[in-house]
Amino acid sequence: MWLWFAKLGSPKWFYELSSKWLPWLVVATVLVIGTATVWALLFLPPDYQQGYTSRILVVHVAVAGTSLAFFPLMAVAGTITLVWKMKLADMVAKNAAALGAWFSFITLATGSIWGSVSWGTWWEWSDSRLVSMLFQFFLLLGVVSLRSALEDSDKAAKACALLSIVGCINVVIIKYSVEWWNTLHQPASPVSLQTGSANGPEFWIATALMILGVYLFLSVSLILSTRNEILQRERRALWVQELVAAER
Amino acid sequence: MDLINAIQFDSWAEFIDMGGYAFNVWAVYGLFALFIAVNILVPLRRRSALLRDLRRRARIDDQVALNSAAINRESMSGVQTAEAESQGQSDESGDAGDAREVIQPASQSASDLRRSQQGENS
Amino acid sequence: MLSASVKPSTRSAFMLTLKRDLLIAFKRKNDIVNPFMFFVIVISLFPLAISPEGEKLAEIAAGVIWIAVLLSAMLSMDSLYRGDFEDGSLEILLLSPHPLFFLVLAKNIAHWLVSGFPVVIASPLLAYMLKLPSESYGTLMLTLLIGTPTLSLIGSIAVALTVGLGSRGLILAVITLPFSVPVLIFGTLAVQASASGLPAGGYLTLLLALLAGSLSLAPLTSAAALRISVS
Repeated sequence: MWLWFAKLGSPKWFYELSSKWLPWLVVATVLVIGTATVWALLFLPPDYQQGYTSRILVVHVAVAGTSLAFFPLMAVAGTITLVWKMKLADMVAKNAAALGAWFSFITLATGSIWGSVSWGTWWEWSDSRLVSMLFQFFLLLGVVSLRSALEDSDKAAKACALLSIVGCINVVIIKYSVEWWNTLHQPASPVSLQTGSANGPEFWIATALMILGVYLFLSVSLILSTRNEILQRERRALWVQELVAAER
Repeated sequence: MDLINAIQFDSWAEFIDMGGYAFNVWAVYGLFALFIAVNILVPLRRRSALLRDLRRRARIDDQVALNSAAINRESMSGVQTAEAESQGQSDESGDAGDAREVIQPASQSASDLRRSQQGENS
Repeated sequence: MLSASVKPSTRSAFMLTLKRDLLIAFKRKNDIVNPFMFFVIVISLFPLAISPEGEKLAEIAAGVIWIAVLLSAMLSMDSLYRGDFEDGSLEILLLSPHPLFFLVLAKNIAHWLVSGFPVVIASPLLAYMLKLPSESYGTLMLTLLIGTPTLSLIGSIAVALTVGLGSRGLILAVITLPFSVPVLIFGTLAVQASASGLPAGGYLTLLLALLAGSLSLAPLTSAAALRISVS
């Protein structure tokens, strides 16, 4: 029963399986993101309140929604690293931290570009989602810098696993406390802060498609960097040396 | 045809203009494209660099093995067979010189290798 | 530190660790005095940078005091496990038969008594200098009394994770400061509420909940982190 689990943890198995799947994933990613982009840019009717700026939200909401997946992902990978000492989980977690920081940053950037139109300002402290995303960004950078500070890779794996688990809990606490803080300091928040409340069903279909596309992109990028990590860490293994020799 | 009718714009200029929000909309989509491109291309570039590095290391390993074989041969011939020494003087020295030449860069890159490994492990 | 002839109970091991750490802290006064001085100096810089006007100062007083507390707590955390790591007694602590939870807790409490507690005591004076309404002194002290141990407990995790690193001042800040956001929010909200005559009980309860949560989880996590770092 545990066989598949042990297999799953084997870098070699993952490498070979991902070699088979990667082309299909790439095709799916290109198709879905392409369709969603064309749909959003060409066909989406302008929102009666926000006009064409609702096109920004398609991207922003998709990236923002996806970036929330990183801490849970890293916490699960961290638990696997700590409990079962699976090498693969740590390789995924390592790359997920950096990619998650990217996602958070793009969420903040697209959010403020949208805000510059809808709120008339590039940064708005009274939007609690923006503020808690900022702190998620900081927490992810903390995990990345802890990883690079610890030189022993085994120690770094465990330390980052622990920090990711604690961080995952903390992200939730921060989210609620920032919301609380926000409702108290801004009793009358501008109506336009309500993202997409006025958007029609077409908007949500396009956004859902974009979310799917961004998740696919996330997995492609994560698989690519995990494969690199495997080659790097398993470079003494026979199968990697054979693989390198074969590609010569 | 329905599809073409469903397009929200009548002209390219209108499409580019995005109802007056050209900068914001295109900045976001540009950023999005850049974000995707960077997070795909960087791992790909790293992969080719990694493969190049692994290939170089494999070559060094091969050479080290070759050199040590050559050295073994040289020392053994020196101790054991006097005939061989007198027989192929020129042949032998040429071989040894070759080996020494190869050893020089190989040992250098071996220390390189060790240093880079230390950097990863410590 | 533990005598070999008598096998001490976990309770006495806890008390012994506490006593030992307090003793060391009083022998090395710099570790106590410097973060405290930092706290006082940071606060006295704000009126110079912003304005000597009482009204403006009163508005920012709670936030300034809390941020100064956060920064000085972070600076003082650095010495929590460092000395023990350097002289090897941390490894002995890890080998102890008693649950590491209690030993880590004892160390955290000792550390808070010498670093957090003086800040709580001194806070009304600094609050007065920042023209905070005198009605909220009590609330300020209460929030600090509940909040600073929480900060110590949370910070202890980050310190334990980085204990083997040579220079780690900045990475400690990057990790711990985002973690202390909830404490900062509820601490300042409570003081601001009481300054404007509103009840602050709700925030104090939330702060207590944070303290209870970190009291039970943080020493466990710190213990795990220490085992990872010292191996």
